[in-house]
Amino acid sequence: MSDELDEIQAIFFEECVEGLAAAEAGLSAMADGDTSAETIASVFRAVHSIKGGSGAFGHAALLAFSHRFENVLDEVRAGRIAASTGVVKELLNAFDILSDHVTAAQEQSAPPSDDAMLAKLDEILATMGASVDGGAAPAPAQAATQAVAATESPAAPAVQTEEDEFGFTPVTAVIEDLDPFGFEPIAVSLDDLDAPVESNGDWTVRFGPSRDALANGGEPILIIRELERLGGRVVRVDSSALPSLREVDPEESYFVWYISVPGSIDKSEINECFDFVAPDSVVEIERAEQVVSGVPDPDLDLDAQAPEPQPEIPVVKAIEPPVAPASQPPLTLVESKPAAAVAPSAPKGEKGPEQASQTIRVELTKLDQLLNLVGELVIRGSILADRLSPADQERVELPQLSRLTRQIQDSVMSLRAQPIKQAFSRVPRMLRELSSETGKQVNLEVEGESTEVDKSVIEKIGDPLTHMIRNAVDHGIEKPDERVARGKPPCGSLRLSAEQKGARILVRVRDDGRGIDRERVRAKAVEKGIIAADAVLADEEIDQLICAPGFSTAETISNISGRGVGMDVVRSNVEALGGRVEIQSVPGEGTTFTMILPLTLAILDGMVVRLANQRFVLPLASVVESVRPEPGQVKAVSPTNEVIELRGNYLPVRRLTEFFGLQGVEPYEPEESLVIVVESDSAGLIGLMVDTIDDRREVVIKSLDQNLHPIRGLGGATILGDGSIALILDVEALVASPPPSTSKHSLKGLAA
Amino acid sequence: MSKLILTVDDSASMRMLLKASLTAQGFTIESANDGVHGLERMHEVKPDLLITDINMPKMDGFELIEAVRAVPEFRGTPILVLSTEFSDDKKARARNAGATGWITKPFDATKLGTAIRRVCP
Amino acid sequence: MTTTTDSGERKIVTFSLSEKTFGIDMRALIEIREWEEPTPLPRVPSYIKGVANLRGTVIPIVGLAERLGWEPSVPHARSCILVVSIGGKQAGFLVDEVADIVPINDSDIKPAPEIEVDEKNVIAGLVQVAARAQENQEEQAGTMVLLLDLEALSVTRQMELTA
Repeated sequence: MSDELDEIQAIFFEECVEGLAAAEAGLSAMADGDTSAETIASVFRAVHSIKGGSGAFGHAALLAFSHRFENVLDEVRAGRIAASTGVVKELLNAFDILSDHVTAAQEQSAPPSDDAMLAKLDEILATMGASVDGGAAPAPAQAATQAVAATESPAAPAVQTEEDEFGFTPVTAVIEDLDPFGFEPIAVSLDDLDAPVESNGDWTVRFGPSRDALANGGEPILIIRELERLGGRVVRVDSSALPSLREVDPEESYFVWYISVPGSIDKSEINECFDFVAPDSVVEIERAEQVVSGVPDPDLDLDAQAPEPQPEIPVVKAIEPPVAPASQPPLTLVESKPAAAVAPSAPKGEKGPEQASQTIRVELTKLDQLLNLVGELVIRGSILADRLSPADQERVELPQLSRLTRQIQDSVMSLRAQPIKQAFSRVPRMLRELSSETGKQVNLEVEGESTEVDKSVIEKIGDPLTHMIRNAVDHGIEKPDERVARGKPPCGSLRLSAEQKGARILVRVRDDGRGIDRERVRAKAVEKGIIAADAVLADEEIDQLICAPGFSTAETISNISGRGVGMDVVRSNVEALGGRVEIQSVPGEGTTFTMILPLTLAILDGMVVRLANQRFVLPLASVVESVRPEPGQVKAVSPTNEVIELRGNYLPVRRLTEFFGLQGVEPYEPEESLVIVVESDSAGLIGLMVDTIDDRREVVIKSLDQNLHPIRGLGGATILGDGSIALILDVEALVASPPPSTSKHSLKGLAA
Repeated sequence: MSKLILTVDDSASMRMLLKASLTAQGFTIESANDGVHGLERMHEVKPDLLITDINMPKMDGFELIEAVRAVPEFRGTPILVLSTEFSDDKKARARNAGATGWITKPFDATKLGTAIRRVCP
Repeated sequence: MTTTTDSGERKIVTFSLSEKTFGIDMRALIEIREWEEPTPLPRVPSYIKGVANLRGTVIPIVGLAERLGWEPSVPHARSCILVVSIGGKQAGFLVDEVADIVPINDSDIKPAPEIEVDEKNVIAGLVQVAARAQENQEEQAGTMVLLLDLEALSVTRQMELTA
């Protein structure tokens, strides 16, 4: 059972993550001025759900905090607290603490310190938001006292103290003891605690349900049965009100029951039986003899009247439907911006809450398995095709089968695709924290967050992304005064964007800070022995140095980015994914980091080529054309560099056999080979010299690092139709790496 | 015979928790994740009892209760609200809408079972 | 004999390599395959002979002799690939010939002797096993088996060290 509970709890935490994301999105929208009822409600609902689950799973600290947070949100939702800039700012702060609480609950670590935030929330409640609104000029002293008073009586949601006038006494009890599957122990302990001295007289219960008690699916007889289960018995039924049969109204109630319940039963238990009885019913509970009542336990106030040994007054009072409960009138005037917040009217713009589509949760391993199977299907399909005669290959069934397979493949891939938003979602908070740590102001712009990428990619870019952003704020963006002095706006700008380009996803982090301090980076690289003191490096090469292993200027600059890992980890993480990192920096204007990642780590449309009689796969997305060179079309421009002339342009050519050091046949003439022109993000058009082209096919990418490690220049391997392995070429790495003969002079660590 | 209960809650963990704890007590549980879906399920499964959350996207708990009560067939079906909210005006709203009882989250499984037997014949 | 697993007893697979007998823990063994030329990989140490397709998974094939710093073994008719799992990663080791599966007792393992391998820690210990009756009868005293520490032979580990 506890396994099941763990599993449910795991889902609860997933929901928390979703809820936090929704809350943050809503709060951000509010900060941007969208205070529509829908937006506020979405934030409220998210926090409310977290609170609900936290109680159910016994996370007391999370429960207490989310409860107080919800209280404030409830007031904002009701329009009693205006969603002013000041209030929203505090709500965002509270949101951060809430995230910490969720994390703490999940990791079972110490909850974050939230006293200050709780006090702040109480203050907002007490002053109806005026305390955090500079403009509204509340009486500060009064506000402060209110806040203190509120803090002293924390509204603990766990135990319901109020007597419920509406017949809905909560059945909940002390949550610390909660065992959602248990059959103990609260009722028992109540008995123990409250067990009165022996020889108490029996209880006499008079129960006259009202007409309403029969409405709403109410059934008084069930209450009598419940009392009977407690040992009670019906001693008398007063049926004097019963009219003649003809006048009987089947929806009216005519009987009054007198039930004797053993004195050993605690009165609260009897009261509970009437929890759901309509308010205007008659319920009287009295002792047959007046004896000493049990000592009430102050912690258990389910029985608000236990101390009274007097004849009972009805527990359930007859009242009319409620007036609004004694809500505190606002102490100060609410700031004058509340119209949107108060009126639950049309939302601003068309962006309503996203429709929650129906979903099921599937274990990722099952998807992976499905993907593998589809991959096998693709392979079997090509084996089959290979074995058929050319005439048979043309028959309609085979293309149909291929198309179906392709569709299944696409569907499976789309199951794994997730909006990159998930990876971006923690950025706003990180920036808030970084801002407060560094005193720098940063305005975040996000673009393309709905771009979909494979789940495995999302999971793996989190850390690199975090580091790039920390790096941008820490090293890039200047402090406000420095910015002003340089003629920039005091608030820095950080732009986070994602876009799909062919089979690649580009994730960019762009800041408008000071740019890379190349002199300093260079000096550091020399000091660390990464480059020789007299090395001549282009600006771009210096920029790349910050990704070199062992390079980190962090400890001398601040403690934010310098956490023992540097940009080299970013680079290796990204390369492990088959991607790479580009850096563009303009001194004084800012730096852009670009992660270029494969769209999927699973399937590739490829061209099978031969190099030294070994088959390789080139991603078709990079292939522009293939050329069989005429004599003289490929020329050597240096001992190690060749170019091909193509329609008047000269493109660099790489001999891949040499690049890979394949011991093939004798170096051949270019005319005996094919030059495949590929387009790369980093080097534009470039020709790759191969022996021949076999065919074109979809291949399933098998990573090399599953059992080995990534190899530069290779994007993985695949299994061809005959069961043999072909290596997949990583065009970007191929064109980015210098030819092998010059690689010795390349930067240590960059070409390895 | 095992009582059939329809639980409506937008939180999957809450639905699962309810299902696990009530199944353990001999109830049969069906669930829905919002008011609209809940109303559909009411017609499909015709439960002995409806337990609904209040704060839900699309149709909230109040609206669901009203909609269920508007169906003659469900006029006598007991409805319990299970919510973290406990304000009196909410409870009154629920009763006016047609709720039979109100239980505040977090719930104790045993007491929830008792409460169910209190309204569910 | 087949199922008894006393606390200290386990089975090892013995094989020959450059005329010495080695053993690895049976529990790490996934399968024994015939030698088949793997697909060569560029830019890897020479002891990595390439990659092979193990039922849809790409695994590296390691020339064990070279890995231990000896002359590469020349594949022949009895050459085999021992496919093993090391810390969740799979790899195939090229060996000259698989000999036997024998039970040993942990208490019989003696400290590693001085032998001519580059890294001492790849040998976990030395154990004497009874020779098979039907062949190699000349050595009635049994064979000394060098137990390999597979963890130390992990290809990924090696990469981390040299990276």
